[in-house]
Amino acid sequence: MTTTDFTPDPARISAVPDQDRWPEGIYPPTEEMLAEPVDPELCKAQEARLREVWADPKGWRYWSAVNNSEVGKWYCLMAFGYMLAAGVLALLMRVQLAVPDNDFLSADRFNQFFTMHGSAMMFLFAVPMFEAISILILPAFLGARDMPFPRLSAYGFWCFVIGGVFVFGSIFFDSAPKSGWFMYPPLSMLDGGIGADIWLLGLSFIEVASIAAAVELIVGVIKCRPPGMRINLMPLYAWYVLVVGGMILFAFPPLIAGDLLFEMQRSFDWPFFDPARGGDPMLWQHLFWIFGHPEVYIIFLPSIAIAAMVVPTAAQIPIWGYSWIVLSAVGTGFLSFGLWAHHMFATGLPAMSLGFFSAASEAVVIPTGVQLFAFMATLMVGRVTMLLPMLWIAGGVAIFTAGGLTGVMVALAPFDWQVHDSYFIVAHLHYTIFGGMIFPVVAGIYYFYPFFTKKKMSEKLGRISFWLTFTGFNICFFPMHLTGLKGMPRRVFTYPGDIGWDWLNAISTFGAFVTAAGILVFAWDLLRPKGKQPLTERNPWNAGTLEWSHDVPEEFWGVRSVPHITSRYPLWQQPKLLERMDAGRYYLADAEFGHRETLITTAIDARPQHIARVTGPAWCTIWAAIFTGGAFIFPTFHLYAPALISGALALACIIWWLWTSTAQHPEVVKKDVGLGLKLPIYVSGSAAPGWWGMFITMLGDMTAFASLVFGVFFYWTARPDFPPAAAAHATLPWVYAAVICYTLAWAATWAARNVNCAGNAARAFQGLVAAVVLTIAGAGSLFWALWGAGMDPTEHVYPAIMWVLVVWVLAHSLAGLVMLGFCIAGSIFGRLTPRYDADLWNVTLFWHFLALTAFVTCTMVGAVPRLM
Amino acid sequence: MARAAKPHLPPKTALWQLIAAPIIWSVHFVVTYGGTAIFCAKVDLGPDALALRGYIGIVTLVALLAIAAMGWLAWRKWDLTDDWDYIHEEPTDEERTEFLGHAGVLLSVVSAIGVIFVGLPGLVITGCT
Repeated sequence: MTTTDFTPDPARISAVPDQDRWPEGIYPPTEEMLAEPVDPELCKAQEARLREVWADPKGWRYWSAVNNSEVGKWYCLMAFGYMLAAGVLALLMRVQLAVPDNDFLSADRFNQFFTMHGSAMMFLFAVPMFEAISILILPAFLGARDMPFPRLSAYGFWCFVIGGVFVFGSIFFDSAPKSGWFMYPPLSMLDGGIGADIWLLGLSFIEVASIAAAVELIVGVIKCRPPGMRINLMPLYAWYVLVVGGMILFAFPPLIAGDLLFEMQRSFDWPFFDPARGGDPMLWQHLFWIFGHPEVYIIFLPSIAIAAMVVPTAAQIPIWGYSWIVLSAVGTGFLSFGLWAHHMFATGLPAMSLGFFSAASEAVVIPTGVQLFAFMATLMVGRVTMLLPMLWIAGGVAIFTAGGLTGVMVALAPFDWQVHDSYFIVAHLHYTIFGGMIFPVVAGIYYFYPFFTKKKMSEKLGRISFWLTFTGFNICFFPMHLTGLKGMPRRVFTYPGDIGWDWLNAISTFGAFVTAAGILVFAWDLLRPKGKQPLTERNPWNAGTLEWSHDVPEEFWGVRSVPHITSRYPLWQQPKLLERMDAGRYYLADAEFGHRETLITTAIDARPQHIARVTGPAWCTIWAAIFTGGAFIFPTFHLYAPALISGALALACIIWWLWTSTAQHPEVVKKDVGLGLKLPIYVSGSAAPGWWGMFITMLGDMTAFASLVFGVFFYWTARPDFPPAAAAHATLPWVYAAVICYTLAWAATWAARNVNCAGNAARAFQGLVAAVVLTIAGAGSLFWALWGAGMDPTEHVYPAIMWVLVVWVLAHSLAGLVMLGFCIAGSIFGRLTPRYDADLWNVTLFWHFLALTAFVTCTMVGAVPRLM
Repeated sequence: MARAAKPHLPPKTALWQLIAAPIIWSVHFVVTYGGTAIFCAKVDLGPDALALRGYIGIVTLVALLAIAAMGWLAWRKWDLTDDWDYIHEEPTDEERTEFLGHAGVLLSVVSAIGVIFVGLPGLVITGCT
């Protein structure tokens, strides 16, 4: 019998007895403890309490649910709906291209359709689908009750719904964006309508939701694993989610930064992409593709993660080469960031730079290939049954490999110049994405459907759908390689009949409709009523991972009790696990205080750390999403006052949500979670999921900021006249004042946290108030440094980019002020005390990042231009 | 597979060590790409661009040495030669450490290949244009 050896963090100075914050009792549980029977009466009573706490709201209130199982399902269906809609656009385009000189669609409508097809497939289907599926199944893989921040998932979902309807809806008003899904300036700048604004603002809004989901998923994987599920035992799906979440944090912010620059030019004439005033459209291409290429892997990796779950089940043996697949996921995650300029081979970059990107594009093949070989090895070693999901995986891998081979070709700059912007590229990208994303995702839906709905999809329809989709896809896209080699450019709305493209296009159109028939069969099978069908057996594929411990018929509690895991495939390798989970023999089998709770464990070894109380059904998330939507959508129509009001209301909703339901003071300090272990309910600092949420969000935030700083250096290398010789610079004394004020504000916040920990709440209060005053002074100084110097952002790109950095700091200062105000109010109303200090820890963490941002900005506006 | 604990190995192990090698790859990429952009825009390089290519060569060597160091640390954690274990599926401290070491070694290899690939243009391309 071992007792826990959690040692208190010596860095933390605390007046509160440390025992209050640390687990006590026995861990890990012994075999005798696990073998002890549970009293059946007690078990029933526990079940009743859990059921009540986790029940979905009834009637129209159902839509206020935040359970990962509900939000995940809505999210999946919504993303699937956008996919079908974007697919319809593709079919209409194929009709237009079926014969030469066709006038089924006008050129303008064709432009809107291809732009919307690409944008919707990427932003409204592929990335959200990953988030949706992960929200739906990740907690089950981890034996967790829910994600750590259920309301954040719900908020992200509603943002996605609103943003998606707004962006996609524009197609019905003939005002959709029409400059291609990458929105290249100067074309998109010259576009007079509101299409480009809809694209920029609507999709920025959805990107925010994606980042929210990424934060949620990363924290979920790091902190919500069941006790004992060490990092070497994690399901591979969780590894992929961790990697992809990290990639989203570093890939999406550059695009958000680019969107900001873009919209500042469109709305306020700041000349970031206007060469006449020192700007450069190439900056947009860089920022877009720093997002755009990792994006391909962001949608590929989670789909291949599904394959990593299906393959062992089909082979009925553990995955072969677990470490190699981890290598593959992590390696691909990194290398995929070194490829972005291979989308820009034809833009006149230095030959040497082309070489780097070409080389990195070839190198990424290695980790990508490794995982496919690991799958094949598993299949060769095991005894494979060709399950329906396995069929889809196999088809997907075949198609993806073909796309990968053309990828190796186009990664070579000279070859790329030949096929650049031709249908060869269209064929390549559809082979990679259809094979790497659509097929595995469909496989996943067949595979997990019994888990989602407790019913089964039809084996027969599934096979019909597979063969239609697989053959249709190849009939549609294989000829495009040839059309491309024969010189047909992308994005043309029609072509003459005498240059040999006509019959290839006719075949492609035929194939497109066959594919669509396959997808329709799948959609019917997915959505058809299955009321009379019997419930599925519990583990229909005889899989080994935890999600198949689900309850049939459905229960909303996630797991009856949170198991102690000692293997990679617990259902195969821990024989009594299921029976003990069901009996409530494991952890957290009860909800005696009537709260939704899940276990938080340490990052590497998953030792139990504390109990997280997660939030329940709420309308404030929907309201917050609606108002956030307003803040993004009104500016499209240049309605800035309503946008500001809407933003303020969104903030109010979020503050209300944080104040009323996060980090509440618990009834008891520690709760007995079973098996002789007592865990604290309230923790703060790096033990708390909220701290991790802040940390991860701020990593993404810093990436966006770094992209703006990159912009400064980009202009410096791209333009000989940056900064212009006669340009006014920021006034130095005010810049110094800003540095001093921000440093002191940060120090005051940090000191407030420490003295509060040490028990001196009054001194902490003073520190917070001082931080507020200093922040206002710092923000004012920084603003005046530029304003007083007469720097006009519309005159030249130099003052414009300086102003953007300052605006960035000012906006973050505002957020910092709101957070300080939240803590001050907390300390007045007794929410923030030396014992209950999670808010202050998180705000201090934010302030570390804000101080860094402010310092870098002051250096960038004060020193760097003078040195350039 | 699981055996007695090994006192000579670090008891705790951090995730960042797993990704140290690919982080070095990223830094190498940024430094070569950024440096090249500055060289090509701001410096008169002459016919063979030896200054730029020398710079790429040095940066690449430094990165490879750093990755080798990380790979060595990871190799020590993996400690393959004591039991020839490469599966690491037991719920023990030793297996967890060995797993992180194993994955770290593999990532070092991939990162080293990535660094060599990205450095190669410096060998064969003789200028910016």
